[in-house]
Amino acid sequence: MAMTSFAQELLNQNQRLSEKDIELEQWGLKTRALTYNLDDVYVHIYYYAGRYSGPQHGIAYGLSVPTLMSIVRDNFYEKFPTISSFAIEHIGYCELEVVFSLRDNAILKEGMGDYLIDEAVDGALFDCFQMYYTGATMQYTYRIPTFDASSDKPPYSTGGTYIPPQKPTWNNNPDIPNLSEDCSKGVAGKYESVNIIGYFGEAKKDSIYNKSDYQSFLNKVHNASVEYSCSYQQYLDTEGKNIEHVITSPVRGEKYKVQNTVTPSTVATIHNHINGTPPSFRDVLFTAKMAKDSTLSKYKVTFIYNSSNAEYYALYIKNRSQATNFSEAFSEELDEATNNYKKGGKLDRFLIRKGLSRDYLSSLIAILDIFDSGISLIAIDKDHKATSYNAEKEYKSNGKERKYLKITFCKDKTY
Amino acid sequence: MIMKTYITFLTFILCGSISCFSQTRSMSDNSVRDTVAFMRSFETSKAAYVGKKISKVFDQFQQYKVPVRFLEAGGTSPWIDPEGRVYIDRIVISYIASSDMGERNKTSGTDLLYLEVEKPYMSSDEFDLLYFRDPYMSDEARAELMKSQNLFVIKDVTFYHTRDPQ
Repeated sequence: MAMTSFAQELLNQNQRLSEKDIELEQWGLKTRALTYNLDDVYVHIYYYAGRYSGPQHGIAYGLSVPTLMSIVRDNFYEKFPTISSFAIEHIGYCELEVVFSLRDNAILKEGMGDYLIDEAVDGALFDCFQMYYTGATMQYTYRIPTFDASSDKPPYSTGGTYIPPQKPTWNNNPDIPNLSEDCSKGVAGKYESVNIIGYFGEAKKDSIYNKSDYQSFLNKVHNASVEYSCSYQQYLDTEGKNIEHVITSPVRGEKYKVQNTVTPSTVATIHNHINGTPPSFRDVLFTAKMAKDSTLSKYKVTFIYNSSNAEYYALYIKNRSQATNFSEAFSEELDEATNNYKKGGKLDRFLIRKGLSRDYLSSLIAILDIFDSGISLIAIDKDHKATSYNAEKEYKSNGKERKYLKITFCKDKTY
Repeated sequence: MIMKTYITFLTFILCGSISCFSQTRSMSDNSVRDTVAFMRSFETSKAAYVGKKISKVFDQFQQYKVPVRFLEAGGTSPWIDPEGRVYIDRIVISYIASSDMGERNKTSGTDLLYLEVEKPYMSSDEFDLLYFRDPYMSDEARAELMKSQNLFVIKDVTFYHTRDPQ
């Protein structure tokens, strides 16, 4: 059913049901708040679409935009004076979005945004389409929290008798896409990558020898519209005791591509992605190629920097032999025009089969692990806390192949 | 000798009749015996599908009673998108369920039909919301839903019958 006709159906059956008809504690809704453009708070409300037996002989009712506007006005807008306006619209088959504009940015500092995010309960999302198939109309239930964080009971307005569908258990069932925390496996290079970033700060400028410092790179990539790349090199002094840390002057590249320059003394390269994406397949192949080159035995890691949040991704060479084999086996799989896996190629077909093609971070983790790339992926945040990733290689249960791989991450709690 | 020839002749006629009956029956209920050839036929006769709504492909599967047991989508490259977003540029279907693909991949090979779609592309978030929000929905049900919504127009058709490394 098209979104517009669905919305029209809701309008035709507009009815506000009583809160008391539903046991609110048995279900929740997923609410997410995002600060946006400093002036707006987007409150993104996901509605459960379950099967309801309403008060009129099993008829269930949908929630229309006007109904939700009325509810928001009563429970939220009129009680909170810093909201200047709000708007509601359908943004998806089962979703309405409420957008609040605020008069006072200070509200964000007071934690309203955080409070709303806290309200984003971990409940499961139920399927709209089952309703679609059974021909039932649907009841949207919702909860809009007040800004009074001390209140145990934010105002609810909803109705109908809710018959919940079976809740999916996201973390225990490997048959569904899953990115769960698991720190049982170590990942090579996690802390060495963090240490290398620390060494960047020790590099000193010297224009005669084309030496730069790390701040120059950071200045270049701040709000940059193209990519820049630097090499990080280590030299021993003449006595062989002290290490000199060198960062080369930033090389300007194109919007989505830059040339990394390396020498036998290069330990790492770093370049920015202007759109904040993780390493591309081009970056993976570049790193594998460095491992393959016997003259570059000091090369360990390729960093990708995101200037908008000061976070890094590291591609760390953990096994040079595997990385060499990977480079030889899959160099042809790069789509030069898009930095992606070649459409219809071996890796693309694998990702399609495993349902990963739409999720580029999971794709990257899977390709690195499943195909024995010899390269680890590590994310490093602005506080230099590292997150490692793994993909399980055995994805069978009861002798049958599962579509989805189990992909895990391990984030440092302290460092 | 004459009797033997007569029996052989009768046997031949009888077998021919059975064969003929079997073939007629097969044609009448539109069942497909060679699924690989069936899948390949979409590529070889892609002119019939390019520019048409995606339901035309699903209709063909339905007409020949071949279930769509696998449905996935591929996306554009986030690495050349200003906001790093992914948009759906191809729908991939198969009569082989994902649970059987691993074994088939090692033996007879996996069959995938890539249906590239026309712009404007749907964002992967929107696509997930429409078709993959319920992780327990079967791919057959997703295919039914996609057919009924009929939001995609086919741009190109490619068939892959391969044994991949994994």
